Amino acid sequence: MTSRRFWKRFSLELRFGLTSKLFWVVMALWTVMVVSVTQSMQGITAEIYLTQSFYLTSTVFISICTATLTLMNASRSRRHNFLALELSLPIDFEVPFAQYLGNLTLNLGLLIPPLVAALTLGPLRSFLYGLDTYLATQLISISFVSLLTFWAARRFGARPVSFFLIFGIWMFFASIPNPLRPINTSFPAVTLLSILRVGMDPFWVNDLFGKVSQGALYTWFDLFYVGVTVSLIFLWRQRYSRSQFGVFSRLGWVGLGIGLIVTVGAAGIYLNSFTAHLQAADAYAGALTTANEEDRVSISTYDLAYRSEGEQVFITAEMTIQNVSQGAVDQFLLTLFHTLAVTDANYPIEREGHTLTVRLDAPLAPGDRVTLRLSYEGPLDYWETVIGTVRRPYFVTSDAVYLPYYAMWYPTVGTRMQAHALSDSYATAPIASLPAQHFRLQILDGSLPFASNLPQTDAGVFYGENVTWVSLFGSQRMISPAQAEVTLVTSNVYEQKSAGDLNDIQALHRAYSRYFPEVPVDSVTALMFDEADMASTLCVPESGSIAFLGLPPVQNQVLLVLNPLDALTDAGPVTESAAQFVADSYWSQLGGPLEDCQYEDPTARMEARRAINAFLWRTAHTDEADAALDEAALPPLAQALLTLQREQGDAGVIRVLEQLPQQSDAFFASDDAAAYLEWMRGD
Amino acid sequence: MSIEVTQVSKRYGKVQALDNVTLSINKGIFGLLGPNGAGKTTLMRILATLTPFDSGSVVVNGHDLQRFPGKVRQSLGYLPQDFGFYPDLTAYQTLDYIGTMKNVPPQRLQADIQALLELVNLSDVARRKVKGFSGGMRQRLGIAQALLGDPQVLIVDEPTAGLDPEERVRFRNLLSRLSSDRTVLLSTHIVGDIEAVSTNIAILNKGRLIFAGQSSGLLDQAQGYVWELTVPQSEWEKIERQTTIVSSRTHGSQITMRVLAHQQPTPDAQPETPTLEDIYLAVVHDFILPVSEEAAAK
Ligand SMILES: Nc1ncnc2c1ncn2[C@@H]1O[C@H](COP(=O)(O)OP(=O)(O)OP(=O)(O)O)[C@@H](O)[C@H]1O
Ligand SMILES: [Mg+2]
Repeated sequence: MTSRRFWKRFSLELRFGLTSKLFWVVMALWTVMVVSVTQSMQGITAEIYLTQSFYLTSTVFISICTATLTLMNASRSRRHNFLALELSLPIDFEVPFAQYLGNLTLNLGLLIPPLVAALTLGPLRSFLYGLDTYLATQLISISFVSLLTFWAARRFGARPVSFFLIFGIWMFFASIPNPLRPINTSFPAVTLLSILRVGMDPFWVNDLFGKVSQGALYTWFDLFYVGVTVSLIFLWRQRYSRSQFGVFSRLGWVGLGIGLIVTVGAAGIYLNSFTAHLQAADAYAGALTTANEEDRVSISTYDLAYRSEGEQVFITAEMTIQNVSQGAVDQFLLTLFHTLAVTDANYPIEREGHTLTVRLDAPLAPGDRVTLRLSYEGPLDYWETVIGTVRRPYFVTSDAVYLPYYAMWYPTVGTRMQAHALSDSYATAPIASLPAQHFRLQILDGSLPFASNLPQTDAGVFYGENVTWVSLFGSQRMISPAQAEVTLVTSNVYEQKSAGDLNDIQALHRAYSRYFPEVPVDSVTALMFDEADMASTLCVPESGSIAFLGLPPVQNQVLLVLNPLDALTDAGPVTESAAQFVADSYWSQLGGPLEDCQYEDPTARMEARRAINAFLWRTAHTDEADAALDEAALPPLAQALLTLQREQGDAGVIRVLEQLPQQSDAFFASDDAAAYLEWMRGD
Repeated sequence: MSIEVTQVSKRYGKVQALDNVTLSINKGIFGLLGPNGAGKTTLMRILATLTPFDSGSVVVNGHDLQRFPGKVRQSLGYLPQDFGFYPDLTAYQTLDYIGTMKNVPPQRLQADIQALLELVNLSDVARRKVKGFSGGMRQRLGIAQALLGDPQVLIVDEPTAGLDPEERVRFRNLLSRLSSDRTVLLSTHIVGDIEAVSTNIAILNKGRLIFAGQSSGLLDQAQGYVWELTVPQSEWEKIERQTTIVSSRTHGSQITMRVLAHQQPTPDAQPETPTLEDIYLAVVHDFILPVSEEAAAK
């Protein structure tokens, strides 16, 4: 590897590339593009958006250039007819390998200098934010493209088989499952999406698939372009001679020209499709500057009066602000959705995007409180478009109000980033976790029935103490049975079924707190989302309609929303796929494994979960007619648990439940209740 | 040190570049003669392991070429007909690169390169970039690279193309010297090149082997078919119909011709001693000589 031959060939290839005018032209062009894009970014959130699009475009561009440069180098070699000589030399693998690495190093010239130029010129924090991913993706992309092109050209010349080889190998590469999170879209769909990716909402790509699978998507996209380039080469191919690089010189140029046009066009479409987003993005300016306001002030009480007219929301808020820091506070930041305009306030307020800066007239001493009165109004409607499906994370229309806690519809302390452009963990950052002593929400608008996670204490009044989150839903189509600790929001289309689901959930919920006594009930969501424990027992296999579960609890509340689109929009019952989409995307955001419940999971572990479900369900229904349920019809594991419960009581069951997750799949594959029981007893 | 070519055929689309060629090449210079498109380069590229062939077999120094191309390459010096160098390397760097690829030991390489540059008369321009070289200089550099590593088998495809007469003579002498202890396969369509250095020849035409063996044998077989005659210019066409004209020169209204003919073409035609050139042209013009490989080999 470090032999003389290796280095000789490596440096020769590098030298050959560096003496190519094409290389310098492409690099200069790309540097100009990178610098102009990065320099045109205004506001840090705009940067995030642009960075995303830039990353996408850049991957495509660099891949095309890599393929083209590799072919061009081969073609120059051909033009100078050097290969005629070299091929007869007694060279082995290390020489072409050195040539490949030289070529790769050369292609990295497309990546590093433009980046260095951009980073030297501008403070691009968000650009740096994803730099590691970017570099990794690019490196993989470049290595792969040049390897394939290089190898195919060297091995097969310009034969159709090279094309299919590149295609086939690339497909395989692109479809390698994401090790971090499964791509929850089927294989052909991914292909389609990636091909249509131009003009598509890149937030969504990121949001749904996460960083790594995004890399796979990139790869698909690159494949598309490499495919175009390579097929062009074949279209123009006139003569083929094995072990010679046929006709690349002219075709290389054509390929490059088309690649450039397509890429610049794609970049243009991207940037254009951002105009709307950019307006929103500007509103988020400064969003990344986490001010840690929570450390300085907190809002201890909320009194909100809510009214909506058509699409307009009118809210008057009275809040008690307390200085929780050690020093005096004369101004602080609040977050409020950027389309909600402040019409009246008892302190001067400056607005920038989501962020309100409140200036007090006198510094607030540590521990002191002040009352902030704020009136704000405006539309609140946020859409995300995904091919074939619309996602509308929050909205207010004349027919429906859907204001989950993350809609920023009430002021919270500090600045929040609500950019879906970054990974999920950021998008669902600790938005609105209020330690409010009380939250009173009065609805002045009688036209719609409303539901909230806050208990309804009076007609049109929701009130809770020690509140961490507040969601508000309103719809004519909605029913909201609130029983004990669970509030259910769902469509009346599913009334019967939802009531049944609610019953199940409540039973499970109670059963949970019983069998995991050390887990406080109000943190049951955290428990639910933890795959390692028996979180997914909450998935009731029969209730395929659970679309949206697990809004964070308030006090001892679990808010359960089934079929939110259906319940809250006037679009009529949504299609299965839309509901599925919402379910998948929300669950992927929340990190939950709902898909295990939605799709028949044949694995033994899944069966075990069902068995535990059945057991919990059965024990939660001891009093009623359910007691008459045929125990023998239960899964063997559930039967064993029931027997154990009779023998050893809840303590025994808790001990066993804690040990179950560590058992192997083979353990769960057994259908012998007696064997299970023996194991449980013996333990 | 031998090359055995057995019934090798190669087809490019509709063109039968080589048609069932069988050849045995041993130590010394072997000349491959043939007009343009005869298949010389194709055969040499096959021997240099660059072109796969359709059928037949090639054994070089006991190694089957198709199965052990690497082994064959190790003992091979090859000068392609069309080749090029990286234009930004100097003559010295080029040889250094190729010598390294040929695994010439580093401690020997520098001296070898100097000697070879001397041999091909390029010492003065060793530090100049190849892109500034004339065609002849490139050709000489090509010869030098083929000789790097002291190969046992030297395959040179039209090596004298583009060389001036002085260089051409120098090169012939060089090949003669080299052939004393190795196999040299030389292709050309310049008969004089071969005549001067090689006694073993093969003639290819349209992919078929017309003749292979000692050139003396070939000359013997052509004995009695070469004539010189002088006729009035007006009779040119008649003679052309009856014979194959090898050369002609006019003086006044008369024209003197060297022709190939199975019988005495005119009563005053004088029989001539055949030269290789005559035979070569006969082949090119499809003049049937009663020679066969067996006859020639005798
Ligand atoms: N790569 C190729 N593709 C298609 N046909 C080819 C190829 N190489 C050679 N040929 C054809 O094969 C035949 C033999 O060509 P070759 O180059 O071997 O002849 P040659 O004897 O070397 O001629 P020259 O004296 O002109 O160099 C020619 O008809 C040529 O057109
Ligand atoms: Mg030739």
